Amino acid sequence: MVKNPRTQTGTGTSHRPLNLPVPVTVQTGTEDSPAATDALRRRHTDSEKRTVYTHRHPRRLARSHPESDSALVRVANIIDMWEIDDEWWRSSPIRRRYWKVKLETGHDLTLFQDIESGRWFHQDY
Amino acid sequence: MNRYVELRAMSWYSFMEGASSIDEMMERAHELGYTALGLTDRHNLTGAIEFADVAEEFNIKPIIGVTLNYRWEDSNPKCQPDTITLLAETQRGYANIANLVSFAHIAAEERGEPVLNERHARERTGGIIALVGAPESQTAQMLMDGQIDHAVQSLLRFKDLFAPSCIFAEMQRHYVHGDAVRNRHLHHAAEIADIPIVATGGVVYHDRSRSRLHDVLTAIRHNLTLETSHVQRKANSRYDLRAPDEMCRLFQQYPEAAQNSVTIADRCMAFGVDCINYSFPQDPVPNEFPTQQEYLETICTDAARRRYGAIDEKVQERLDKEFALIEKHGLTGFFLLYNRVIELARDVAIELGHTSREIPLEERPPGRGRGSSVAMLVGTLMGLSHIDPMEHDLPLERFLPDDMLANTPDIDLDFPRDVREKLILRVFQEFGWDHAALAAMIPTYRIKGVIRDVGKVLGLPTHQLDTLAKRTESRNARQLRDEMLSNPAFRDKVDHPGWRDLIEVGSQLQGFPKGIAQHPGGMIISSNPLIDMTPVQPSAIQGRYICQWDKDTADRANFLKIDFLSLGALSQMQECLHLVADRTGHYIDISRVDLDDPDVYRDLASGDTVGIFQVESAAQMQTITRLRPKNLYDLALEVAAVRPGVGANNGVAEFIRRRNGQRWTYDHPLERNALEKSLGIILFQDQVVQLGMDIAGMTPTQSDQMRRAFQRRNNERTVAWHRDLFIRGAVQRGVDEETAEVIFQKFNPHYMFPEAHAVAFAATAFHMAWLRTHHPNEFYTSIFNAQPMGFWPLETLKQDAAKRGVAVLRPDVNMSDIMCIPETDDSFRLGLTFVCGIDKASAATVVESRRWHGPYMSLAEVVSRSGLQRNAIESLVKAGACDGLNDADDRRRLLWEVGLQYDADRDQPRLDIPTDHEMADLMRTDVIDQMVFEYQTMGLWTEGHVMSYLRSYMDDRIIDSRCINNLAHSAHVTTAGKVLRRQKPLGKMVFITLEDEFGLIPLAVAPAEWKIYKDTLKHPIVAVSGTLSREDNTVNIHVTRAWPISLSRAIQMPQQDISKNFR
Repeated sequence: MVKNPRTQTGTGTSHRPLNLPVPVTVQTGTEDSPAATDALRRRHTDSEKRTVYTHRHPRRLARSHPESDSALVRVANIIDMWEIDDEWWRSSPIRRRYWKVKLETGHDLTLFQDIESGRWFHQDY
Repeated sequence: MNRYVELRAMSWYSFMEGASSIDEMMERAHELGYTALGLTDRHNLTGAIEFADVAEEFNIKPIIGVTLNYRWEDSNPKCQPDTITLLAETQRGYANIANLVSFAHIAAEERGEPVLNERHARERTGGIIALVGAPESQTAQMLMDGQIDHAVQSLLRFKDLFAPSCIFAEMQRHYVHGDAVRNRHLHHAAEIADIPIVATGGVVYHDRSRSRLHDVLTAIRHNLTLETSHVQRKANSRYDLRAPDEMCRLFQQYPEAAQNSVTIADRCMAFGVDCINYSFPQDPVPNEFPTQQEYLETICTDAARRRYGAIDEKVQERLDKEFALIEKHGLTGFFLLYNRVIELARDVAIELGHTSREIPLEERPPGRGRGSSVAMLVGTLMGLSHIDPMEHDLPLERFLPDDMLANTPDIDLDFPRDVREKLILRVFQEFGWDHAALAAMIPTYRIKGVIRDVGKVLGLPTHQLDTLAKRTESRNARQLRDEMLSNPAFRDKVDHPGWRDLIEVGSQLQGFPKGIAQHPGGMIISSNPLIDMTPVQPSAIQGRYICQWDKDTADRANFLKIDFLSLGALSQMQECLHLVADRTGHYIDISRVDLDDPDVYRDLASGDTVGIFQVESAAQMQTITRLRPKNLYDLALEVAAVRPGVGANNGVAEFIRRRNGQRWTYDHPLERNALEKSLGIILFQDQVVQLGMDIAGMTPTQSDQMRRAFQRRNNERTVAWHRDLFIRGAVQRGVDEETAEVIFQKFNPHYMFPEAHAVAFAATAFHMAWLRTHHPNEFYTSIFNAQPMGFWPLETLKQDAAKRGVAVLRPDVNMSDIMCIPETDDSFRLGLTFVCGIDKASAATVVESRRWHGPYMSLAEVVSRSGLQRNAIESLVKAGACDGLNDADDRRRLLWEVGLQYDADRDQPRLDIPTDHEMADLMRTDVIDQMVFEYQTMGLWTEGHVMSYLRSYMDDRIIDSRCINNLAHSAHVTTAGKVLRRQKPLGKMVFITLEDEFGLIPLAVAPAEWKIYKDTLKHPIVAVSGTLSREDNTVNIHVTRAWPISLSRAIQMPQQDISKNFR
């Protein structure tokens, strides 16, 4: 569910949103579907910053992680695709296309493209 | 070859859910290359016939079905019901679906929440293909919860309910999270249950651009806002009608799913109006008559002998022609059914004391016909109408064309209110709800509803929405932006977030149906069970049932529809005749009064028409002085002329000019036959039909269909089609294309009367005018009692009565009845119910106590014997109803005394304690107080008019209505009055009627002035200045300035200080 930004969420500034989408680079294939992404690297970097990240397959990840930072990991399989089109009455409507993909590394990821801006994000759950 | 057929589309008849019209849906299906389409609206078959008709135009196979809530016998009634979709495979299947929808509604615990239960479903599954497992269903929920076994069990139960070959598990994909998982599980469960799968689109709009409207509808349906309806709204905008290729691609993992949609479409019948197996009721006839036709002919011939003495050649010829047409069109049963209904109505009228068995039916019919049916002599003889078509030379063609009947003719009947109420119940008793139901009426969204409903879900401020809704003048929500731009308070908002969305989504909502309501009186009666043809559901009024088809659809299905309408004027006439009989001792046979009475026409022609049925509106007053009717047909022209359909082409003004001698010619000589009577202007519906026949060589039926096409919703395409047909036909008959176009342009969608209807209404108008001329006291007494009705408020009627020497007396606890009663030959006493806060029951207590215990001697007696609440007693005192009591000398003192006498605890008898010593020394009630008291409690001042009081405070230059009569054309006028009515016919000038103590003052406000003085002219009392216009016997003041007059300001200021204040 998309959070209601008008909702009063507390009195101070201690509120810290969790699992915010992380901008990623995605190379697209047919019909704008993701073909390769750097989301794993971004996720890794991001997690190191936050130092709370744990992943299920550290060895596989370590083995398959490309040496170069800019390298993209190819998408092996698209598991699901869905869209959200909501809050059109607000100043910033939400229009997103989500892709659940399996990477060649074996990782499952959820990516989405903001249809308004064309930018890609990784959504961690 | 078809690879996919959409079986699950919802139209706007899935009220507050479907966001596209049937036309839009079908047009899109055509664009996408569909060859068949299924309509499965929720809980109803309201759009079925329209769907079939539009499908025919696009050459698409219409498959009809319904989406219903469903509950197993053993399931918890508090749990959410399941959802199933039923498609009509065969005609029997359609009948079963109509039955099931009816039972779902009738067995519903809550109106509007129909649920089909297992018991009803088990009895009627033949010919139905069921789709189960849709995303909103319980089965789908089980799958999403991972309860595959439960889902399989559920599918198996459905398989057991319907035949194994008639059940399919329904897969949908809307690009919503979870679709893929659900479909995978559904496929698995269906395999285990051995049920085939089918792909559907779950379509709720034809195009993605309607998704916002769908969101808004969802929020309205759940009484939520957009912000609070997240759970209820769809996740995205992918519930549109998608191309077959896209659907195949989406389901490529399950190729049989798409293929099965085609298989089902092939199996289902093409639905059409032919599938409705309606037949006219066939009542048994008495033994001595071998056929229905002979029975009908005997009834009419006997009545003709009674009416005419002997049947002459002309009457016989007309009867023979009508009998032959009735037989040819198979309408004998139809007329006999009407005969039976009229007999029922007569029984009711006898029970109510309006007639008696001794008086022949045709002499005093229980109701009066309206509409084109009045042209039938058979109708007159059967008591269906009060007009003799022979006398007025009324054409039969519009009612019964010679070639074929496009629709079952409808006969509309007006009844006095009391007869109608009883008659409707009597018909239900006689025929049963499965054979008789009221036609539906489908209210649709217009600008005000759009502003309120859409604005609310967008979270816009309610008070601003109210203001905007009140100030809009257009009825079309597509003009909302213009309306806002023209309003200074909203001009700046058009591009603001929220308001911008209101304009955008609101314009899409224009014309959307809101739900099913009850038609004012259209009753459908069938000899086959009605619920085999259309579902029937309970009405909001207990004991009444409505079918899901509106009047037009019922027409299209050739249903016999009887309109029982209640007409206040007939109630008034009935009472007036009774009152005259009470006073004079003999009952006037109104059907035999002299229809050429010059006194009556003199009154009418002078524009003195207040209170007269059909000719009392401000617009009618203006035209009648120019038309100056001298006989009934003239009056019929008058009644017909002031109709939107005539006014649309400026026809009224042109007709009057021609009638007053202006030269004119036909657009083409072929118009003569149709338009000669009305000087080349189209005044009647029948003339459109006649023109279609004469100019374009259409058959009567084709031509009538053309006329009807203009009145249909979303008719652009149909009208264009008829236009082509008309022009082509005209050219073939030697009319050049340009002239044909000119003639076609004269047709319009606005309402016009059929000629026979105009004559029938003219007769009622004449009868009312006759009663007013010859029995004014009873006329005004009865029009007061028949309120609410007509055009004018009570105060205007009181003023009008005074002009005719009839005085309206204040109510009196010792002399008033419940309703008004004549007191002397030229006065009547207001009934107690005319005082606010006194309903019929309270008034009856006051009157009953008087009957049993004698007159009230004091206020103390009124308080103790009447049993009225304190507020009601105070209202009586203010209205002057206690002025006649022995101890009454002043209304203000009486009000004080009410407080002393009234005891809220009435369980104990009140002690007779004197109150004299508690009386205060109060200022005496003066004439101003009386006026204010009476306006407060009755809306009128029996002894005067607010303007006569205000006159003394006003500048001498503010002249009264009498003086205006003496002024010449183009004189400058300043006047003032109480605002009675505002009318804005077809969005041009605004016509306002003011009233002062001497009469009415007609104002015309041009658009530019209206823009400036709109708010001022909405005050209750205003002064205006402008120029007097006297053209063609019409008087109007063209307003150039307006300012409000405050009554409270006048009252609060000492007279000497404010004299001449209102300049």
